[in-house]
Amino acid sequence: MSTTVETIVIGLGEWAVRKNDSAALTCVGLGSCIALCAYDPVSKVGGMAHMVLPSNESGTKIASAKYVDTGIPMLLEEMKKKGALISRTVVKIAGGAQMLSVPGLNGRLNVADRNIAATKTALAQAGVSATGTEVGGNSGRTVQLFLDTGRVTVRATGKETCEL
Amino acid sequence: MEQNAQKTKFDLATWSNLANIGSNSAISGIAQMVNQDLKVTTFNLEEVSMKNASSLIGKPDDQIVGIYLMFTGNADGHIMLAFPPPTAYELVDMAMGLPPGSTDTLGEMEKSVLGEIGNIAGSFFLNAIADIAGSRLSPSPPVVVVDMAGAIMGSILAEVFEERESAFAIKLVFATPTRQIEGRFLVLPMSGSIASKQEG
Repeated sequence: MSTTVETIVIGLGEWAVRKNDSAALTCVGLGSCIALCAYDPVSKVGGMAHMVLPSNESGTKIASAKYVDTGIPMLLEEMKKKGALISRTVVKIAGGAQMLSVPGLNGRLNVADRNIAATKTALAQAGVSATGTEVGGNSGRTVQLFLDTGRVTVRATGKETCEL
Repeated sequence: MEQNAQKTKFDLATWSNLANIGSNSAISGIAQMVNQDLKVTTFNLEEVSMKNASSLIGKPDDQIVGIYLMFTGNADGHIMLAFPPPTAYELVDMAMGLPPGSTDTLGEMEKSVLGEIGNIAGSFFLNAIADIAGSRLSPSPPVVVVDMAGAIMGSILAEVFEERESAFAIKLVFATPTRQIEGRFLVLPMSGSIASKQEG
């Protein structure tokens, strides 16, 4: 008998943290954005952020999952509040694909590489290292974090779903 | 705050006037290239949040063929033509005068044909607006990409929403009378003086 897993879609700039849940947090059609998946297997606290840009350069330092530099600390902090221990939290990242490369525009739209670099920096600052990464390339991805087990799957365009 | 609200209202009205003319011109350009009678079936000019903008050309996991151009000049922005793959194949057949069903994959030549369709649509749109506004708007070379709609839109939206929480979107759906062909044409203007040229 198969059971249907509830899917919670995390849109651009959104994030979610759940405890003792059986749903799957999902980033659908991820391009240059980064999906950060974090899971503490003991407290069963899991979170996902769908981050669009490396950092907030507007001067209004609003904490938001739209930006990597504010999204990662915010997600980890919320996980701690829900009982996660960051030292045993498993972190995996996916995304950062270069989808559009326009000739002659000096790398405009090339936010993917900056997102990947900012993610690595923010994780290092938080004292966390990603145990699974599926970043770069030029294909879209759909990423799921299953909150009952912490399993993370990635389905890239034209490829089979794989576990991260 | 009130001043910002007035500016927002003014921009919307100005773009609405210009966008309608530009969009019809773009569709007429595509119609000429594929030798079909194309009509605009839906035209929307709306202020969208980043979340809503991600599905402007389809559901995030829809497989689409996107033809993308950036424009620069007095105003900056992004133009996207989007089709489901079977529709893109039909467009290639029409543009190349091939029997229906001849194209079933997108190689270098087919992508080049689609790029030219995007180039014509973008140029017709920008020229129509530039002529009225007396401004200069230049399109980039077209880029053709086949992937999930959400993934294609991601890097565009990253630039559009880098320093704002909402943006104007000009979106239209066009089709042949028989709906053999249906596509989406999206313009995301970002900045520039096009609106102020209309003010006076």
